[in-house]
Amino acid sequence: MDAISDDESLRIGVDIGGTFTDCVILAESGRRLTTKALTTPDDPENGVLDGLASASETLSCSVPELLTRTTAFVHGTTVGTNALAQRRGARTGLLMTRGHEQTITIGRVRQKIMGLSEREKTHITHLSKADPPIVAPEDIRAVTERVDVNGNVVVALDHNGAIAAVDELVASGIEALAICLLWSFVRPDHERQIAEYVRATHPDIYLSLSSEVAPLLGEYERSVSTVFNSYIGPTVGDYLYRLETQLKGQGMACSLLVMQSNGGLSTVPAIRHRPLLTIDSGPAGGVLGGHFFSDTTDARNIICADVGGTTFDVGLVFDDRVQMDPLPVIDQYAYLTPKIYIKSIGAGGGSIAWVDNGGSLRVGPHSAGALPGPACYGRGGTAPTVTDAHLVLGYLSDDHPLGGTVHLDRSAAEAALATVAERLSMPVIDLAAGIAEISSAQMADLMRKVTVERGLDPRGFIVFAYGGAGPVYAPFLARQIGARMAYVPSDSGMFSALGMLTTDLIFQEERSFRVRPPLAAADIAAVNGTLETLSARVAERFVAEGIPTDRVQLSRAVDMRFAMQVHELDIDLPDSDLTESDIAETCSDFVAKYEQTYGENSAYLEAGMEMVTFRVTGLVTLDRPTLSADDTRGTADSTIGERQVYFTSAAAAGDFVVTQVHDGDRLRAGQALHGPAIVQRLGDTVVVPPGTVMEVDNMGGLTLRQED
Amino acid sequence: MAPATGNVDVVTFEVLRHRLWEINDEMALLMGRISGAPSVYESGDFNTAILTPEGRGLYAGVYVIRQASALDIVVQKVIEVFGDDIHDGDAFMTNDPWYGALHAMDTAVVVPIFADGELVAWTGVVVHELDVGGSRPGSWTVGARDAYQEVMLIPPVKMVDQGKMRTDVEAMFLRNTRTPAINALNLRAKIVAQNMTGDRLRAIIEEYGKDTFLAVQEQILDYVRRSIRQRIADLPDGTWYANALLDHSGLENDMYRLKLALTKRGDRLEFDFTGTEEQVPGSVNCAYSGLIGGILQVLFPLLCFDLPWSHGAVMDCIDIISEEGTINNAIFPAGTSMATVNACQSTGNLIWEAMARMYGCGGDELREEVIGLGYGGVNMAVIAGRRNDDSTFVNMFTDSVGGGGGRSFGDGIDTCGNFIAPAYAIPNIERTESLHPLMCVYRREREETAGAGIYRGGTGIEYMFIPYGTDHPMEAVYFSTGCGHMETKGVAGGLPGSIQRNVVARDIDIQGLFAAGTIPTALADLSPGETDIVAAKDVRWLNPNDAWICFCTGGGGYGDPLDREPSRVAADVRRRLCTQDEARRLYGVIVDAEHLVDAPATETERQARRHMRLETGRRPATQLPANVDFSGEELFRVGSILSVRAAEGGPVLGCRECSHGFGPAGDDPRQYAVIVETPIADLNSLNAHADSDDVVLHQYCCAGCGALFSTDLHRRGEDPLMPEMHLALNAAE
Repeated sequence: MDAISDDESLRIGVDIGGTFTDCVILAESGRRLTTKALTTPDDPENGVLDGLASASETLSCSVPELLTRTTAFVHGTTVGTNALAQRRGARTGLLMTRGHEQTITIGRVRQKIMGLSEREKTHITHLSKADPPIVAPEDIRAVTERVDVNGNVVVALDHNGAIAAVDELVASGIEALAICLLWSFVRPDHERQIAEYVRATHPDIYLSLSSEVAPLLGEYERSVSTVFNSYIGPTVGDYLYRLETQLKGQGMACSLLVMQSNGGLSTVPAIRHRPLLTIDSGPAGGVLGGHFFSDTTDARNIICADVGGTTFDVGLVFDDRVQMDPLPVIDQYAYLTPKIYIKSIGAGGGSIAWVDNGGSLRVGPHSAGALPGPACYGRGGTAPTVTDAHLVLGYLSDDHPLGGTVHLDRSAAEAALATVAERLSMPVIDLAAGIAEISSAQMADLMRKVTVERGLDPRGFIVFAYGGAGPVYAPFLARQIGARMAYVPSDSGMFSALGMLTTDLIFQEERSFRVRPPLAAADIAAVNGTLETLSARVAERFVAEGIPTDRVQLSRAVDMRFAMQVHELDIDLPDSDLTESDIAETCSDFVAKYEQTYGENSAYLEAGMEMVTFRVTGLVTLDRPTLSADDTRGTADSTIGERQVYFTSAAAAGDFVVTQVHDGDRLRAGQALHGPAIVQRLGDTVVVPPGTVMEVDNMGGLTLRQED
Repeated sequence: MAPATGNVDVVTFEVLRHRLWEINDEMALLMGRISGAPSVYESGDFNTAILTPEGRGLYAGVYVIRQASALDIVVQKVIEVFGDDIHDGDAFMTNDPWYGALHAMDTAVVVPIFADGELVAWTGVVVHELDVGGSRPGSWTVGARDAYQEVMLIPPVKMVDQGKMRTDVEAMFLRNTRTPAINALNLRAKIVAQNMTGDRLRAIIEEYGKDTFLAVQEQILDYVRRSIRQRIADLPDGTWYANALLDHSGLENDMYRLKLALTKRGDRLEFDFTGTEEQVPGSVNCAYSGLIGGILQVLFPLLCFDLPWSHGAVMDCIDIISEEGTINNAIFPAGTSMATVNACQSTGNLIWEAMARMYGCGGDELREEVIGLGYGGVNMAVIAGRRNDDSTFVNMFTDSVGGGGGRSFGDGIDTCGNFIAPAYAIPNIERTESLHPLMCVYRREREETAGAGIYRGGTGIEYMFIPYGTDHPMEAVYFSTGCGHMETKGVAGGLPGSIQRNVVARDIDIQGLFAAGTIPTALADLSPGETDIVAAKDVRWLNPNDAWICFCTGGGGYGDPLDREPSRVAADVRRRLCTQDEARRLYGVIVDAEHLVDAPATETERQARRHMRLETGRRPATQLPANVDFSGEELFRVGSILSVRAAEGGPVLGCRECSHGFGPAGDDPRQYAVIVETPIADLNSLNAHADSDDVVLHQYCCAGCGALFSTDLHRRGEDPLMPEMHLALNAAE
């Protein structure tokens, strides 16, 4: 690819992962530069600056020169997620309504299985609730007050008691505080009155109110959201402040924008109040990128498959809309926040193959991780992994470093596989093929599950594969779920960072407010009032960021369900004040969407409908990047050699086939390759099985289709 | 590819094993999404299964296990009844316990899956319906004598006939319920979910072929069978005993005895229920379906913790001996409307107890599975009434959960719920208050409920509801167990949890308390006009000025409480899960006002307590004399502190703490114990609410050192030497 020229303005996307900090620098021309730096968990901003330093070296300029040319700097951070996972957040106190202060400890009982895998769930005697809990039971205090379902004050707030509880917690050493009172999303007065005291008296205590963080029905999940927000608040806030200060100090004129789990970007001051929105936001970048590329692939339905070494993440774009998660779970805690749906399982290149007591071959969920890693890494791993199988099958090669850095040892892989092959009395090659198939079948099962449980048919989707190991898996995943096409973007190893450059500034406000259509005039007025309030709040947040409201596009939606159900579908609302006929139309939209989801005649209209949560989204469109592949490449043959690669097909038993190996950097837009073929790119390897045709698009992405 | 044991290669097997599990789970997810009942979507009171063409279960879901494990019977009965008249697109429904339902509310819908005209599998969904009619809201028919006085039972009917809903049959079903809209929504959910599952199974056949699909089913069963048999074979041969009490038949407030002798011989398990009481007038009996459900709901977690939950395979590894006409194998027209949480659950309790005793003699892997008996019965109410706008409501309050049993490696789970419903959840109280005219004043973990032990059981819950926002009195139907005795039990010397109970506090002037800025969080915070202790199965009217308080049993503990780490006791006192008094009385731990352990006082107290056991304990005359040499090599451990060691005349049993020899390994250790009898009211203040002092705790202590190795609950007058175990070792071992 041509070098980025000296005068081009730049957009930078940085995504911090567990091992690497990925940095994508995108120029006006669409040319781009990517770097990987080691993640520095204690001071993550160092990894970011390392990445920038390495980029500026390539561009032969200084970091300040680079930053001066930067017009947008988008950042996805795992600082909050890691603080949660490693319990390294702020010690957080929690105030709840007297009589309900154990809500978060009891965890609705189901906490003991939330988010667990099949194997963990069925091992009943070994279940436990979240351990250690995110808030210590000793740090929870009761507040005497009670509001009822309609927002009436039943027991007045014991202000002095609340103050004493706060003071006691502060004296005991808490660093952050969360307040979650019953029905506060209907009447937030008591939370606000306590907050007033906390802010005035203990300004250093990071404070979150449930009526602001998640004004939604369900005190358990709301309390988790509020506690999460406080728990990671100081860590995330301090980190982003440090990073932005450093970048600005070195000449960056634009604001640092932060990736949110809802798919939008936020400014640093705004995210410091809602750090909750950074949890698990990294993978969201990939789904957004998939959505962005849907234009080029002409697909409205996409399954995003992010295959790493230890984790497999799946996201969905259906009917051109990124699908959201109604009830995200992290670390056994269910919480409430608008979040792009990402389903993860422990599966990837590092998954270990083993034989269970019943003599059955299993793959995962244990992973060799990065250390010692697969046997072929030569770092002391002896258990055979999927990556070892891929190497023995010829998908990967010992002359092409994995991810551009890790040299693979074929004999170590064979030796590891041999131990398991012996136990099963099968040839090593058959075992390797089996491991590869089981691994991709497990991933395909997850892809089916996330579609089928929404009433969708996976065959109507294309597979968008990225992450370090995604390109190897892509054709197999597509075949397994019956998708017509797989797409592998360029820079698949840093696709989440790139995806972050494709989205908008988004602020959302939502609130539980239940009404049952048909609505009387007073109800309609109340709904309009709620929407107005939410819109005003969204607008306020943009104004606070110095963004004029005329640039903001507001959209409104409502979550609806049949009266007795709990699972909701989100339905768009018109932008103007709602009328009786708008309500009727919304109801028929709901029934249509319901039947589309669950099948004809599944709706039971006699039950009546409910509107339960109203949501207003404000969006400021940022310039969309243009991505260009290099169209000036020579016409030289991309072939760089050939090797034996093992393929199976429905028609024939598996065997090694002589397969051309191509250099990904020499592929031209429009070029087609017929499988079998292997494409080696800087960071990854794409497998093109027999019967598959691969085409290069003008952004450097590769499409894989079954030949007719 | 190399073949595994069957004719499907190991890779295809593993691929389809995983996929079928996911498909069954998807069926449950869809069911939960579409259902109209909070008990389904909030509490998970339902389950799904995939079965072979003959109706042998392949996969049960992680919801209420027993509901799915009895689906074998439903499908086999449907095949028997309908014979040739089973077609593609049919769906069959039943709620009849003698056709595989557990009780009338657990309405099952099963669907035959066809491919190219051939029956290739069955699917099933069972949902606990909120109400299917009968004399009481919620259909828990307190006061009914037999099936005729309970609820309409529906033997298998065709609900969908080759794709067409039989609206006449549906109308009959919906006519007989107080909640027709919810039941109708659930019925659709069951059918829609299974239609999608059928599509998913046919997609497998399209991809792999029918023969492979059928062969994989057999191979899954074979794989599970082999794994279970290996697991069983590794244990020593012997018989382990368990007994359970069940209180209140729905008609009479009496206690009923269930018994089990579990014999392990080679690679098979035999479950012998001989000695269990005859079926009783009332509603607590279960049919054979409940016996099977009761057994499998525990064997899945304990035998298949790393295996598919295949009912068909487990059934091939066990023998069941049970007399027809007993309380857990009742014949028509026995009353069964409360079967699930009574005779069926008590059957499960027997299995937990006997298996824990057996696993206590196993290797390291199985000793990790030893667990005290946790909350498993029921302690709930269905409340029905009218709002001020005259609309009606019916709700089952699923907030009741007890503690999990203590484990060989750690404490039981606080507010755990019943392990046979792993995905069970209690609703957010904001959800309940948004749907029904009641207010939850408090809901918390209750001190004094947990069974003591080295590792204690989990705590139970306590909560209080008041009518709120309606002036009409409401009818509460209570259905509980463990009110007259403790239903949870300790293992390896751990103590049982508390009893559980419902209380109605009358005329409490809650508005006055609220106005004065007081939120009660215990019965003691109220000054009721009357404290009305509700019987286990009972009906009450709640008036606007009354409160309903419910507390649930904690789990049974593991091991001798005097061996619990004192700092853990103090931590529980700090968290108010244990009172200072309990700490001293049950654990011999002295905790001071600052919630710190007084170590010297604790040591003195604990020594005195062990000594007192030896001083005051009975040594029944029938006991065998203990005079064996116990210095040989340890062969295996038994429970927490006993073990079997080698000796010249054959293996011997004794205490590994003090090396006191008991006797030949085949003898029941209780024969050599010093037995301390304790009235249950001495264990905690809650037990004072028990119906009578008829039940006593027996603690079996080593005669050498006073360490506690076993506990049991008996009615006064029952033989405290009811056996715990008899190993059957070859003299050579």
